[in-house]
Amino acid sequence: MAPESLEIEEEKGADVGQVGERLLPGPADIPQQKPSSGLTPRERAAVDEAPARNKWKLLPEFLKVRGLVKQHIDSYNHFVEVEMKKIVASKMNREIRSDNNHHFFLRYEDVYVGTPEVDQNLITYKVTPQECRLRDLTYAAPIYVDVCFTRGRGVFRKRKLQIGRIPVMLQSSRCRLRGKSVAELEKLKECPYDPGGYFVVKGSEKVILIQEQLSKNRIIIEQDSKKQTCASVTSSTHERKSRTAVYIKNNRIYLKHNSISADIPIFIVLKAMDCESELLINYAISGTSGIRQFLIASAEEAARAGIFTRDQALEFIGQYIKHSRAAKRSADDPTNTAPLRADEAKDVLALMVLGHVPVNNYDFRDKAFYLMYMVRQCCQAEADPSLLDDKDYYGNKRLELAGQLLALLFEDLFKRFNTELKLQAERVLSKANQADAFDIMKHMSQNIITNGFVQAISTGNWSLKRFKMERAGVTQQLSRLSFMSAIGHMTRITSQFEKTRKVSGPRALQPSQWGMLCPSDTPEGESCGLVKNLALLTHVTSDEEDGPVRQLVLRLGVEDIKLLGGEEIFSEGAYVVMLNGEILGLTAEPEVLAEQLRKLRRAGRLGEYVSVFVNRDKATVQIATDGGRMCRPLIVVDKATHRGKVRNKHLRMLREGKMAFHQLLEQGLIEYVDVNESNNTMVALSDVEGESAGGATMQEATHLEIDPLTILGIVVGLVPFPHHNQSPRNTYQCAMGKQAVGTIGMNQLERIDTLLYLMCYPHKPLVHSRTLELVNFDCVPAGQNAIVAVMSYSGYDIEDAIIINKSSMERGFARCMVMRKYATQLKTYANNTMDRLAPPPFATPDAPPAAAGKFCGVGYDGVIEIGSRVEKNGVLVNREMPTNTSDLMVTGPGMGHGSGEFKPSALCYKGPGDARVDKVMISSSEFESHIIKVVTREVRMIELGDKFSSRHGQKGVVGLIVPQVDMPFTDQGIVPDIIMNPHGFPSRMTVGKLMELICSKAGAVSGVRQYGTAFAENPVKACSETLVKHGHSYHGKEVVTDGITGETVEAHIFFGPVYYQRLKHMVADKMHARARGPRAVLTRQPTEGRSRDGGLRLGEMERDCLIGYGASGLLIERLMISSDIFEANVCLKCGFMANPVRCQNCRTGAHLTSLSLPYACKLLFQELHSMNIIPKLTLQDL
Amino acid sequence: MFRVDDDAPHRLFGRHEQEFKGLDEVRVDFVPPFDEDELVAEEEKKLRVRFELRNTDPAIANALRRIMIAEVETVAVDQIGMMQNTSIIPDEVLVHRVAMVPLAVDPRHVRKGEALFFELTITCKGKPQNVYSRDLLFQPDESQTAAFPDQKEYWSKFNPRPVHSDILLAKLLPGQQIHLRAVCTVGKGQDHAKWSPVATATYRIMPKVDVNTARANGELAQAIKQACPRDVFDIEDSGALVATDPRRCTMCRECVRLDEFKGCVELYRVSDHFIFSVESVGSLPPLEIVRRAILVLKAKAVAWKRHLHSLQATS
Ligand code: SF4
Repeated sequence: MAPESLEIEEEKGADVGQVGERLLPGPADIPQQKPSSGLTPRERAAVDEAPARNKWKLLPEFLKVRGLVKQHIDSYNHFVEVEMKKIVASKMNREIRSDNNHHFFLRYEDVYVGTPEVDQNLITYKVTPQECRLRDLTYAAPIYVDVCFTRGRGVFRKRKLQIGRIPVMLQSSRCRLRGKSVAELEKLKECPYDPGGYFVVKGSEKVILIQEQLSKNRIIIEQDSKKQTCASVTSSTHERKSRTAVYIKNNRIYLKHNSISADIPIFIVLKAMDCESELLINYAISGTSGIRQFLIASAEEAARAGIFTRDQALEFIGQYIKHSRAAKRSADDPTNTAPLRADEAKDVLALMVLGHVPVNNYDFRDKAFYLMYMVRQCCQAEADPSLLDDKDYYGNKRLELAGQLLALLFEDLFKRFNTELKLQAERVLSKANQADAFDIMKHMSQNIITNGFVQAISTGNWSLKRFKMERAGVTQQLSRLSFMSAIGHMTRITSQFEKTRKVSGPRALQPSQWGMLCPSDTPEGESCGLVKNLALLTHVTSDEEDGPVRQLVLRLGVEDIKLLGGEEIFSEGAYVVMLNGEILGLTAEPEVLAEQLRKLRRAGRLGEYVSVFVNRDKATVQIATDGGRMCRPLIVVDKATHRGKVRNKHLRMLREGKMAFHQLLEQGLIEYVDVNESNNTMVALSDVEGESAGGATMQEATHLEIDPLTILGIVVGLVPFPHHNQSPRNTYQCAMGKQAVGTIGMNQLERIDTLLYLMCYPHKPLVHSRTLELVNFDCVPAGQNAIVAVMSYSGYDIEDAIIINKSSMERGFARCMVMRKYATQLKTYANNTMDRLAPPPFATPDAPPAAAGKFCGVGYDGVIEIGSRVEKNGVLVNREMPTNTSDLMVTGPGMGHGSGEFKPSALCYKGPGDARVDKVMISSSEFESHIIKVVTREVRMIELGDKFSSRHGQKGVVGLIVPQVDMPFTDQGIVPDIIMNPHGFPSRMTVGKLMELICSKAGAVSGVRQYGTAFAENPVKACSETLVKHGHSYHGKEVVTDGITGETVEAHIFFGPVYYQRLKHMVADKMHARARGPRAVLTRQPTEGRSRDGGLRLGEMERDCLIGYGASGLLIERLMISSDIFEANVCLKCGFMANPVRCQNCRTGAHLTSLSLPYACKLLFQELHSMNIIPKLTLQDL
Repeated sequence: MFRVDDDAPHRLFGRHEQEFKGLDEVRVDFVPPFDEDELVAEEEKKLRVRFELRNTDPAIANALRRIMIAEVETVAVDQIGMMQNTSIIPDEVLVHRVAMVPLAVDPRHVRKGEALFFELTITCKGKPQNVYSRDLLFQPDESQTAAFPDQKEYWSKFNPRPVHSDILLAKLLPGQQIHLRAVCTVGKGQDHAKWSPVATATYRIMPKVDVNTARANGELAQAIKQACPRDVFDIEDSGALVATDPRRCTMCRECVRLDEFKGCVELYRVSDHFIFSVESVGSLPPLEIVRRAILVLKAKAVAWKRHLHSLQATS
């Protein structure tokens, strides 16, 4: 037996998942392989060294350490543990001094975050996320600082001083759920499958969406809106953000910056930066190549303007500085401290222009080189447009995660906190005679930071004054429609592009998003392509220290830029080495350098997320350590053997627990590759003999894919055989999978959400996928395996409608629960009066609650009892409000308990149908002493018009519910649950659904669940054979007999189980009709919308039809009589509207007549009146 | 009789010229169980019956099937008074589960206007506990004892109880409690599936497998015999293929699927021969269900006949 085949057997024997998981005992369809215990050591070694056939097994291992939302959690941890300390330690923030008293100071020495706790009635205790959800609290932890400060003459130190509270991300390093076992999580009433990565703020779960942005501090060459070639950089430092651009106009080069009002010829800028010699500039920009044409014209322009020296140049630039203080300077006023123009220009050049390139002591050398490099790039691109960068290329994009956004916010809040402290200090210290020594500890208000965070996260408005940043919709309420929707929400990425712009570029699928972003999971409609989702294994990097890398690169033989002149930099064959967009030096052997760096990275000497990218077109080596880059793990291919470095032994060791995933990384078997570095890789799909390696052959491959399915996101994992479907169908399913009613978590019955849809009997899907296994979908499923007959039936199945078996429905098929929350508080008012709970009228303490009527089920305590039925407008909480909530009470003691001083303000049930009370919670929140939450529960069967969908983007509504006896049945007596019209197939091309049916059916008859994993082996043939073995047709078809006539149907019917999802759109929630009802106060027209019991609008187009048809009577009836008819009195003489007896204009009632007109018309006339426009009504008899 | 082909499955052969056969020549044979039944436990077998109905029309066979599913009366839980339920299962779902439990009560024993009461009272103490259908106990109620004072002793001979004792209804944690009273009435499957006496009542139409012996012999015959998953075929001494047991055929069409099998076998269905299979949920013996279904059918026919006569008389 060859070792190769031995290996296969061993793997199969060890993992039945290869052929499916056994559900039922009984004879196996696929014979179990013998375990390979009888291997000789030599064979065992051969097996171990053989290429790993089941490398997908790395996935669960990877996700075990990573979790599904590592990017969020990592970024939050990085913020709390690193970034926060940096912010507090930065020069600008670490010290507060007073201008009035030079002895005074407050210095922050350290900052750290505690564990979540809540402060209630002066008692602080540890809080769990679930308690926060239920009690509308914020899951937040205190921020502590160690400070050193002066009081009077003394210097004091204080440790663990709280300065505010920061919301804690669930499952982060500060979270109480971190590292808890399943049993412990259950005790905390948490779902063990919940991925975390969100916040609980004021009781609601908030996700900070991943924001997509163009990368900072990188040169991007593009054509601007005027079709000019332009090299631009967005410089971003902790202090400021600005954009610098170099562009070519009429063969001349200019610099544009938002703090300079005019565009400055580049030679003038360079001269101002100490590069006075044209020759030097020329060399430095063009080297020996021929891009001088632009330079000559530009140089000439500077000369024409009479700028030759540095001082002249600075003076010139000084004229155009925006918000110039120098302009206010006048020569006569000696007290004026405004700077000189030239000095100001120098500062602007040093700090603002290309702000990320540091300038020390006005040594502009680095910055000038950088600028000249930009000019050169720009000129080259002008000559060769293929050098233009693609704005949509993902190597040029950065993802901003919760941690980064919170860091921005924290810095802003911390600065505000300090400013406030300083203000307080100044106010006190400026006073000449102070009674006590000023104690700054007494002035620390925690509210600035605490409320700042809570506000920002709960509203989603990120407003940072420093950067003039005003962003709305950064956070969203975590969607808990189904488990999948919650997970999908966590991987979502929004971009800053406006949705209205009509460019297709940012929306289109970009080749560089391969493996990083899911190609299927995006919404339809306006935000199509702008909202994206991370692929399964994508990781987003956090900022890393670049100092060590910088040193390392220089030690590896890169020539330092500081030691080089212009000529060398751009000499033939010299590659510019850039670290995070900063020019570091030159190398002649880019490949060697890259190889060395990668080797070091694989050896663990360099951060695992450092990327090295050799760009041949631009002759650069780009090294990146910055945060926000997308990267993904790939298996490294051994150069000598041309096989992946991960072998069977590694998988075995992982399985046996002798190795952990991170060891694979440390040993350099697997590495992270970011978008840029992907350009230097050749990725093969498989290194196993006999399997296709994909596009690259193993000879040329540098990396190996862990599994092809990882190019897709988590939500696509729901679709079986997605690679056999038409692509938009997978996209539709991604949207619908999030609406499927099912299980939302193990703690679903403990939760109190505004609206929850839960399925009574959810199933595991008969055909599942590796991705679903990774997210534990089997434990939190959303759907049922319905027996589907693909045939036409009755004509109530046109346009994708489905037919439902009434008996299946009665037996519980697709039955779901709708849980709705009703909440109220008992408020305390300014005058110390309080809301109260009152017993229902005529109730006595011992008698059971009323069995009918408005107060049905309401107990003597005024709160409805669990299990009682509520009807529309029935009282849930019989709350009463004091009539007087503003004046101080006059009645004295026993305040407000007299009768008549309270008015009813009960909380009522609003739902359309009857419901039952599921839970009642009485508690207190941060602000209210009593909050009462009532959860009502409705159990819903299927109704005509309810929406269903399979997992292939095939949605349909229920068209007819048919008694079982009328349904067709197979020879075995099986009656379908759902009949689906076959016309749903040809145009949708959802071959995956056909395959799902066959595989589900084979799974059902043999008791083995099948896999429908993306890009995996095709099990259909084997399944068909299983079907035949069990006496079914090879094609999955059945001979069925019609239930109405009793005769055999003249066609073979495609028949079998398909996983169907019940979607949340249900008729009971939408059905609406109105004969009479409420009207709007202002216009007296019927209200709009179902929630207000509104009318159904006869719109403009309908109106046009009636006009066209000439149905004037109907028009009057619809638009006036049935809407807002009004009897107005009109004075015939002056044409004004009058009151019923007298025209105020003519001062007589003699000429009045009455007129019917829409009230809105009368209102319009009156509004025009008020604007001094007088519409006159001239009436005449017809 | 019509033929089942590979891609145009059923072709009818002059069926429309056939006369309505009605019930005059009906033949009923009880057939021995198929081998698939051997997998089924002895207990289950008591709940099944198979018979063949010949020489009649699909309409008659279908009427019988439909009546068995939807119109033979049984007793099932109709309403439930939920006194206490602190279990994890919501009231409505628990009620549904209880209602689906088949009851071993013959509806003929239920007197007009009589309802049967079952009670489930269970409090979990100590360890987590399961609630099974056996915990549903017959419990005459006052509202009924007024009208039927002898209810208790009357029913004591019939022992009303759930058919299966081990249907899981709910799970309880210590301290949780369920107390409910179920009102059971006589009903029909057409109103709700819970009143259906059968798990399934179905028939299949007798297959007929014709072998073209001219083509199907030798190796081809072997191949076809191999292909058939239901062992329908055998090889004669002459080497020709013969369909020994067409009754076993499931119409899987393996014997006609491959190109080389073309023209060897033709599949038909004998459209006046129905192989019935009735599986009772247990409240009534399967044969009794068939018997009552026939009675219902007969009553319908009689009513219809009377109606026709009255029409004749008036016109
Ligand atoms: S149809 Fe299938 S079961 Fe019937 S004879 Fe042909 S192969 Fe055998």
